[in-house]
Amino acid sequence: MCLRMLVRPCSDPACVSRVGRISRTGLNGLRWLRLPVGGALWLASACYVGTAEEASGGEAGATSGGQGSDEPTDSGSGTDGPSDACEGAPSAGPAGLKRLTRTEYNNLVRDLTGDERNLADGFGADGRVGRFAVNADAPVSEVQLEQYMEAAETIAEAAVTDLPAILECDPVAVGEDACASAFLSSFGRRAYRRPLDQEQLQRLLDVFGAARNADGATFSDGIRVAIQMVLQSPSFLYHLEFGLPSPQEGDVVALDPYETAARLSFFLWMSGPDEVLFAAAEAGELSTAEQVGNQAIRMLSDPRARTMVRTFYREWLGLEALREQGPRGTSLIEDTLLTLDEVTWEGEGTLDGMFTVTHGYLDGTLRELYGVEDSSADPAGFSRYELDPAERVGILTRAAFLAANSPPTGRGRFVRTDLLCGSVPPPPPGVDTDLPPADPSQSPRARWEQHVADPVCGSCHLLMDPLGFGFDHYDREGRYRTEVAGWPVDASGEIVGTSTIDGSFTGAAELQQRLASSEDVRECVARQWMRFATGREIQPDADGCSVETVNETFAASGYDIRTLLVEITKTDAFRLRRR
Amino acid sequence: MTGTSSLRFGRRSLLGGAAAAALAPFIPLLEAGAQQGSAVRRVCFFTTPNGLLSRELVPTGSENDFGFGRILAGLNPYKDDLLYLHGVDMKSFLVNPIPNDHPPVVNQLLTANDSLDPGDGSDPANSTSWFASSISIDQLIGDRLQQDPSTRTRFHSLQAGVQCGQFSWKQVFRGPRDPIFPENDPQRLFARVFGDLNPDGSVDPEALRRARERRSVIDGVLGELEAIRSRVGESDRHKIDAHLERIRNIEARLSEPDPGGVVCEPPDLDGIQAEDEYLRDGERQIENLVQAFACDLTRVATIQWANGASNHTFPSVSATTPHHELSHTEQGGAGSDVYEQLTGVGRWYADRFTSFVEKLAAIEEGDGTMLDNTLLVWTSEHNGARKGHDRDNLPFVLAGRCGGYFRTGRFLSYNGASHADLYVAIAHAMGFEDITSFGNPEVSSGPLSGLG
Repeated sequence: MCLRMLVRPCSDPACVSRVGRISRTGLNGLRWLRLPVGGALWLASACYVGTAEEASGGEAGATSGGQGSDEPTDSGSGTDGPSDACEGAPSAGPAGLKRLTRTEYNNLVRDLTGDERNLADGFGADGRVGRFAVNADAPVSEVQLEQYMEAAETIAEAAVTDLPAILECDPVAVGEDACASAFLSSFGRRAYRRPLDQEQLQRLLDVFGAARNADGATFSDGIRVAIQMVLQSPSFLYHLEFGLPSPQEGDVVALDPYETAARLSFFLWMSGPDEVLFAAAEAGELSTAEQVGNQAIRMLSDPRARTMVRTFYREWLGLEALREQGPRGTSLIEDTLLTLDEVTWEGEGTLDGMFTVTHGYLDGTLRELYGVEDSSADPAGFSRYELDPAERVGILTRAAFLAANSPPTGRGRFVRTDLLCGSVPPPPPGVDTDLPPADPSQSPRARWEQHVADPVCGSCHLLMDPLGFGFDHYDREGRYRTEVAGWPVDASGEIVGTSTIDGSFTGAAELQQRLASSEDVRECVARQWMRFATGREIQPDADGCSVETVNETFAASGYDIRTLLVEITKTDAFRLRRR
Repeated sequence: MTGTSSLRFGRRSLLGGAAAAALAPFIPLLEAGAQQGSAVRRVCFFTTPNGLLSRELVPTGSENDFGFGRILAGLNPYKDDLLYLHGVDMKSFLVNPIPNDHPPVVNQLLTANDSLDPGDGSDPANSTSWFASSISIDQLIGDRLQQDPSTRTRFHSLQAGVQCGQFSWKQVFRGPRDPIFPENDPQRLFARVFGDLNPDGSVDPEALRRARERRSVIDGVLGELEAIRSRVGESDRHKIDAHLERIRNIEARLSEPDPGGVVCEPPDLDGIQAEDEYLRDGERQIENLVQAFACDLTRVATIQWANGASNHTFPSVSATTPHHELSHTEQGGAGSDVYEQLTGVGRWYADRFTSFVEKLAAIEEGDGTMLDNTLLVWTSEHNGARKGHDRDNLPFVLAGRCGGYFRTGRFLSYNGASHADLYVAIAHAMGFEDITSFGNPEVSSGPLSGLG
């Protein structure tokens, strides 16, 4: 399957001539194999060979276990989804143990203690699944454990400065031990995202007692040190998902109610469950897809969901890198995120909004960049402006995307790999990936066209550059231009290798129009959201049916983003766990 | 500020017996050396991103009669303490090139072994999810030093970062897919290493309370981990095991019996000030590492400047084009804009390296200075011979003699040596002559010759 393929350079000497042939025959020399899932693309004849797994084409569901079709406990989407494709085998890919991301840590601490210092910003970088922050791969390092220890101390110290504010009892009135026990049960439940068992509570009480009974210590010291322990417990730091005792099938388990509540809250709020979710979990009201979906609908109306959507777009569009540019970068990011926030939550809220939006949120930096004049505006604040539709239509003509991705290859690569979920084989080893020096007698486009025509580079670059040509009106910083180094802009490009939108086009507006109507893009966006929601790669076989269900519902809703988010929570992929 | 902050190496305050019992030991450097009958040896890897402009970096001349270009000119006073190695390649990459040459080469810089495919659905050509497939040389040496009570130190190793960011940062590895992100905050590194001491070197009574509380918390956390360990799936168990092992290391530091030792005075980070935070933080990290070495709190360290593909700018040397972009631009010749900017960046990093060397050379040890017993290795994941990146002729500037293993004051040219073999030689210099191969065995055949 191409998204998981191991790309290996071709060692066959015939390879070179094969590439040459492709180049000479141009686009017609390429054969595309459209796979059934996610609009994935595979360049069938190029200088790279995939693995046997890839070659098999990844038929959906082909490798799900054979047994279990007569299991009576399948509460999966087979009963709720619009497709009956999920009946029988559960559809959920494997998921490993994950640690909190920095964002999750910050949010959870904020919700637990009100501490908004975002201490996790000083932790090491998070791991990734695709473009999304997920700590599933690497074990925790000793440096990170020291950072957890130090952060826990800093947070606990602040938390006990106003003890009555966090306690629900008076230690003098009810007795210190009883009050500590009540507090730690309640605080621990929110921190661990499930009720504490007797042993867990006892461990906290032991730590409380040891600190409380030290020379010169007070009740507050006991609580402080117990909070330190809560914040270093694996039940706090990891997303522990043990599942229900009896598996649905083989190594697939349904999550228990508290784990389901936590998945919902970490997806939609990037933090722990609220009391409503806890109550639903306790009452066993998170066991059907519909119950989960209804919670998702409720949760999407909470402001925390807006922060989640911003995080999704920030990571998906790779905007974080712009922070290297300081305040200017932050301005660019803000324009794009405020716009997407509105596109998602106001009005239609459909996918095509991001490709057709014509208003933006600009501060002084952006007004200068976009050529918008408003002498009365506050230079530091962001205000809403209608933008010139000839220059700034769709999120891909905004400075954030344009500055974060170099022209034309970087921009084309983003469209290919992150919007179409296609794959671009890496450059052959040892090839100089830098262009030769500019020849002033040649137009910049002619130079790039050589790149595409080059037998070594072209087979892959034609997947990227002709898409990137559409952004020729925008310089590296995202400023609109009509000339490039004295030559007129040439924004004509070509789309190849897609299911439904191949052909030539001119300019970013037309490209985005095509993308908005593309089956591949729609399935790719759904897939990106599923990755984000589950924190794991979505498998064409093991998740095939969940993916299909999501795609169908997304289509039926007219590509409504909020519907997509709700539907994802109802899938097997979200509600089950394959060990 | 200048590179030379005032050095404060008062290592002579006695720990009170009972008060010190709760704290880990600060083994006195000179006494430790005397006990072993040989000098303490240390190693630090100093890594800067995007390569270095070769034409101003690589010396000219012969082995014993050579001159530095503009990048290393500031090191002239220490020429006799240096080795420049030319012709050492990242063979691990060259024999199995990965067509994504930013994150994976950072993985391979200190591991000298293949990179592991991300396999997480990200585009391999552009993914940051690559991992190294084996332990990095600093960690291997640290492991070996910790195994022997006579070379054991309070910290296995220290990982300092200077604005090390998200992209392409994974350099230090405990093993496959097991990286260590460096500590970017000099104050926090300071607190971790020296935090138990007052500025005058006496023990902070608060530290006693903190150590006691930490031990109690760790006890509880260990109980939680043990309870969970049996419940997580087999494929996740290594994560819990790593957590257990590493938290026990921290616990051991909090619980070690007091050897009746002598302590050092902690470094004065506030004495190092600069408008440029990159400069300030970097110099503070250097100070942390020098003093941690001087106090023998560790013998192994890394300092990672930014990260692969860093786009840092250096206005103080008129290098205002982002560094990575600069490294992908036609260089031109001396006097041309890009060439001069790259020279400026190289010189900027060289000045930091010089500062590290100066500090070590200023601290007396035995009959000489700490530089005699230390090896500083400055390298980068790329060379900088031309625009774009290559993995042959990596920059290698070595300072110090590491107990006499390295015969310094020379410019050595190799013909396609493997950086894995340089690391084998460094392991030998650190006392581990049984190590005959490192990283990818295909590109490692024994210690690099000619260094002694």
